[in-house]
Amino acid sequence: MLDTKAIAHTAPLIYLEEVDSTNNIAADLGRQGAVPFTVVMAERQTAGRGRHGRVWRTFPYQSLAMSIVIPAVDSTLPLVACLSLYQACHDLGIQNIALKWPNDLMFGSRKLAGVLTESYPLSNSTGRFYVLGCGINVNTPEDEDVPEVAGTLAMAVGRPLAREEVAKAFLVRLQKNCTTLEKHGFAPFLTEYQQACITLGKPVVWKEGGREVSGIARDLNADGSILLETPAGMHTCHSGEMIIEH
Amino acid sequence: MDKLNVDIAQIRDIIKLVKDTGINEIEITQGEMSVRVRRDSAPVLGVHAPAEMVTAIAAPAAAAAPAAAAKPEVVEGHVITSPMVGTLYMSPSPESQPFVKKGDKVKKGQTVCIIEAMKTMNQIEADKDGTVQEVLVDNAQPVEFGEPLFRIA
Repeated sequence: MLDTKAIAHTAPLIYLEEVDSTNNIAADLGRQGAVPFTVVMAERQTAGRGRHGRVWRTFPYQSLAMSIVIPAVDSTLPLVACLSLYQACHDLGIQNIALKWPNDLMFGSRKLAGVLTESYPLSNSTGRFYVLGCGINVNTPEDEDVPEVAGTLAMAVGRPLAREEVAKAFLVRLQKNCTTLEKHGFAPFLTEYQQACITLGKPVVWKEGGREVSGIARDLNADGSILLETPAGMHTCHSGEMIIEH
Repeated sequence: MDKLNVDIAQIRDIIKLVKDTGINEIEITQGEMSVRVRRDSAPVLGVHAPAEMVTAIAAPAAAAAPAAAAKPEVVEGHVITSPMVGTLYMSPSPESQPFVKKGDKVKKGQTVCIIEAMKTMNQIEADKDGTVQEVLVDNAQPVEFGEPLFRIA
């Protein structure tokens, strides 16, 4: 069980044993006008999801699955959320990690955490709000195999971690960063994201909708998009998926 | 004894959430206070203060939601338009069924598609009740602000 008091979150925190998806509950709360940064956490998700409807698997009592209700801030929120996770790991002494554009936290070729950002219309106005879903593999389960493509923060740092400590460090960074993002946009985060991003400089395949483009990820633009160098010229990638070629 | 800073409206919302979603138990922590709502035959709400004070308050009588009689939609050809620039997805994942198709009945607030923009999956909801008369876009198609997506009537 999580000691939710130890997380010392400044907004409501809802902790559930099992749920279909923490994002669904957070979306319901957001529609009802939840306090900004209300958090929904669960040990088990029966329909946890990643981007494009992929299943996100949670290791109960070892991982963190949480969704956060965030007011409309800036379209670079998914990148800033992932950077917040990266910074939180550094705060906890986990150094050898990197970001994969746009929203994955990596340890070598193993994915440690992912962020799924969804937006929903507010029920009584024309505005929208965000639900930020985060899956973080904290400790390595003893009785389950961890797939080769996945890793845990414990693997990266070489010791088990208290999940409360990870959640707290992340939520503190996220709230602080959202305040900065609202005031100043993505500019204050650009350099740090570029330095942490393993995608830059690599040959990649970019997939969006039905099309695929190969090229080299050259730069991260000030709006969070990636500048892709292709044989046909430079191309700006705002969304879709980017696979690093090895 | 310190006065508890409890937002009753918020608690009512939590109780409603428990009822609506079928969750058995929910615990909400804010600062040093936590609220736990458990689904029993009669839902009981426990509020913990720092000094381990526990108060039980009977849940407010469920305000019987007036069952709004479904009004027949009289406006012909209402068009749901795209609120943003992005890539449109007709289903939650490439393998799954579309959110809606021609002939489906939709309710206001029902997700009709997702538009991915700047790495965010934006849920696009029907802004009216009705029946889908026409799907005006293809899956994985780029869409512009204001572009017609569905015609419902």
